[in-house]
Amino acid sequence: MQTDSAPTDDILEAAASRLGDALRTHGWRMATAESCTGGLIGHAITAIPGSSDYYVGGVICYWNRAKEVELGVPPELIAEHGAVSPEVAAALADGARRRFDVDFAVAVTGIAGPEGGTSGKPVGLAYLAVAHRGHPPVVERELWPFDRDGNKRASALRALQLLTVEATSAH
Amino acid sequence: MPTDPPSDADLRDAVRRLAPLLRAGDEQLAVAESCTGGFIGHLVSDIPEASDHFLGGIISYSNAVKERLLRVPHALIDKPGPVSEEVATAMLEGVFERFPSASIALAVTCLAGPQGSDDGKPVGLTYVGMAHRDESPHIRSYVFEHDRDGNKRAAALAALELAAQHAGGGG
Repeated sequence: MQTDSAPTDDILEAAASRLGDALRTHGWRMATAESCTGGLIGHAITAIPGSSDYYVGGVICYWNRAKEVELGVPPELIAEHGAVSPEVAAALADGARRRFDVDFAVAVTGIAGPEGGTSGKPVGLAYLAVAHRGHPPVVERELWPFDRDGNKRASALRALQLLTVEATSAH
Repeated sequence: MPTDPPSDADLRDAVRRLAPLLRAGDEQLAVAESCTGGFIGHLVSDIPEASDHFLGGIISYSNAVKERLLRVPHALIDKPGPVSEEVATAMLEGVFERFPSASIALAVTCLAGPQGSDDGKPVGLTYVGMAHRDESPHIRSYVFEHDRDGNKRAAALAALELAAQHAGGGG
């Protein structure tokens, strides 16, 4: 799915529009839990007129304590696996779905750069997760090659796409 | 006379002006975003110098989230309505409660359009709030005349400028 350049505003908006169509079909509602994307997913979703029909809101959990307090991520999970991990991504999505009492939630945690990378967790690493009521969360790992803004955009686009796939295939 | 909405460069410049003020005051910022949907968080988290002073926030797109997560009183949502000075003030109080280590908060509630509100408020009506913890809030109101994206951009810029105006020890 990777391309040479990071997604533009137009590409994000088109993906958000497709997501809206997928959710509307079933009358589903969703929420977001964003760490490294900082609110970009919510911004893309709310670019679509009428998105209040399916988007209720989200938590921007830049601060790790917000992951714990607002979204119920166990502190031990962050201590053991780190904030950028598949376990924490899944817990963020599941926590947001419960906190907002919605059908779906999507979460992103990653290292946007330029600082903060390690050999085990390089800049560009991102974990995306989708939680659907009654199902275990789906988690995906990505490693983006862009600058800070580009890595955020790539994660936001993939989050919108992943949620669209899950909403389209769900019953 | 109609003016152009803020460009990406205008918004980045506003974050770059805010960043040294946050650093000088050793401030920690949290945001409560309604119509902007996470856009302010995205902009702040795009600039590493600003993101060091950013905790996160609540995207309270639906009124239910304003009430449940930000503890905006239901009576205020009824009257004067979600797009009002009173609700912007309550959103600031709510986000300080959610982010106990925040020293500064921003809140935005607006009608981005294209639809107006049931109570006849105009598209583009925007309330932007900024406060230091335990101090009186600064609230500004506007009626922007752009499209949906332009109104979100104008609201985000107004919030960032209000923060810069008062973050530098202007209390």
